[in-house]
Amino acid sequence: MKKLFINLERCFGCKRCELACIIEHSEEKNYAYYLLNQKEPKTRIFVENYLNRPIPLVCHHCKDALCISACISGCMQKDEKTDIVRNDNSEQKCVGCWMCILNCPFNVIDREMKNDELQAIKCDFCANREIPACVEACPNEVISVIDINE
Amino acid sequence: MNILIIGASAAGISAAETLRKLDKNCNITILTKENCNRPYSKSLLAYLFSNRIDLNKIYFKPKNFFEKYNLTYFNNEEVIEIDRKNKFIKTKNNKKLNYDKLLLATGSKSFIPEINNISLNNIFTFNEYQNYQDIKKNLNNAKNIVVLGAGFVGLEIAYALNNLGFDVSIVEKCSQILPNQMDNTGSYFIQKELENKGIKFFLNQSIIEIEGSKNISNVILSDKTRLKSNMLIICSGVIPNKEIAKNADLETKKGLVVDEYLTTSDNNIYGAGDIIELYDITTKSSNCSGSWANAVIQGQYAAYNILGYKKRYKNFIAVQNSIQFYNVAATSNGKVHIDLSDDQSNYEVLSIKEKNYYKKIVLRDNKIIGFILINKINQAGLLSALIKLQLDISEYKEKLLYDDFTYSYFIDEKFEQYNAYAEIPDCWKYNEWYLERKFCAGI
Repeated sequence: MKKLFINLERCFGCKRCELACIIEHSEEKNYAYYLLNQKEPKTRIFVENYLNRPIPLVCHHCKDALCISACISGCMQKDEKTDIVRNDNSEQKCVGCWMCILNCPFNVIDREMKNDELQAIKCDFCANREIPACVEACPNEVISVIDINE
Repeated sequence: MNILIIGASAAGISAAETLRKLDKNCNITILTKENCNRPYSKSLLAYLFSNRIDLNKIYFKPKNFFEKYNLTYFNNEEVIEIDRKNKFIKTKNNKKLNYDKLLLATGSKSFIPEINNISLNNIFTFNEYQNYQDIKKNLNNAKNIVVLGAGFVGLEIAYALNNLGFDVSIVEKCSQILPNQMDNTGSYFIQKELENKGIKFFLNQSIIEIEGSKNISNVILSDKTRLKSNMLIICSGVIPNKEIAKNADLETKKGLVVDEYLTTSDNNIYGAGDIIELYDITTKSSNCSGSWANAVIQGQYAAYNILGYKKRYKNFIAVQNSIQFYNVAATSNGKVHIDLSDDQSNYEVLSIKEKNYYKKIVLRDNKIIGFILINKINQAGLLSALIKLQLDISEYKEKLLYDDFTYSYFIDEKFEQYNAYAEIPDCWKYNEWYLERKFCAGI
């Protein structure tokens, strides 16, 4: 079971992880083109501020995730092999009811316009990459992938 | 062990899934009175009208769900009697099934008010798949549609039908729409957006008479306004399906009465979902919930308790809702109205309102008990968690309305003193996360 771990002491808030996340999940794969298409940048990792300390918030892919319980369409599912929680990889479809946003205590789920329909977006552990984009982009090794065995 | 589950919606199915994950050997049987081969999500029915989803997307579990979890499933089986003494149930088709443990997850049905001529044609409720089919079949003849009740379901179906180009009017007896979930200001955002798109609202009104010979033709409101209507959809709330429990002499009030372990007055019978009533920590009264998320979580807890794990279900909040109508996104949770009967000195309301943005947080004794967020809804999850936690947030009070008030405030050593892991949403207390916190914050 893979998790994103944060080494807070090393983070200085450059937000390169956010940028990498936006690019990775865009069709254009390029930030300049992405902005030219006049979309609102939507990231799935959030570097927040607390007492002027940068704090990256990541999806925890919880064991009994509340977003899965709350999902009315059943599209939010946990992958049995990888334990990654995703809403865009199932036979069901996200209808944009925001019950997952209302229940996620880490507030790491956001809304995005996809094909003229608003849908919930969240960390998918970069399905098309071996190492998530945010981990690669971090210059300071704040974010790392660690395998936890129960 | 024979475990019988009555009802195959959110609570029943999540209970069955959890039971099978915990115990590989027990026999699990699910009964439903509805005529459907696979469990479907009632909350999605309104989305079907606007073609937001296809018909095959309303099933919230995969196709092979029953085989994979080794569950026995009977549809079209309405349970008519529970024999508690001999521990069996009887269905309408004279099927007899024995049980060791029984879970009642029968949900709720539409409340139908008493109005003259309510049995005319083209008058529908909207709660089940059957209702959807009936409405869909009769839509061709309809032009003017009246929806009675501006609750969550009423607005959703009005929104969907308005999208299809019908002339939709909503009649609501309260002075605002979404009376249970929103305050005046919040509901106004939604009302204005829907009015701009052509839905008409008749607030402070009820339907006193329905005109028509065979089919409905007009409805008359309490101020004698006559509305032309070819179709009336009644969405004036739901009532729990508790008759079967009542007939079996289980304790019922508004709904089925259960304790913290979701056990009814009979030790072998459990309840979950819309049918049960529980003590709501925000309103300090017992209430039934209509929320999908609550039903699923109650189903999971009931499963644990059926197998004897004694898992306490607490910090229940009855009302939680989130919606998106056109460009307005709105969420609310907990108690958002302060009544005159409440002790005013304990309450505090923080709010901020801009042109397209509204945020209201209700505090009681420095604890959050309810909130409304319109258009910027990202903080909803954290605020919900803080309600469930009943955390003293006096320290963060001036920060509450900030946009950057996020979970980052709580990755802090100070959070430890609240003993947060004692009573928090389940996903906050797993070992991995605790490890991570240790790793992050050096505690």
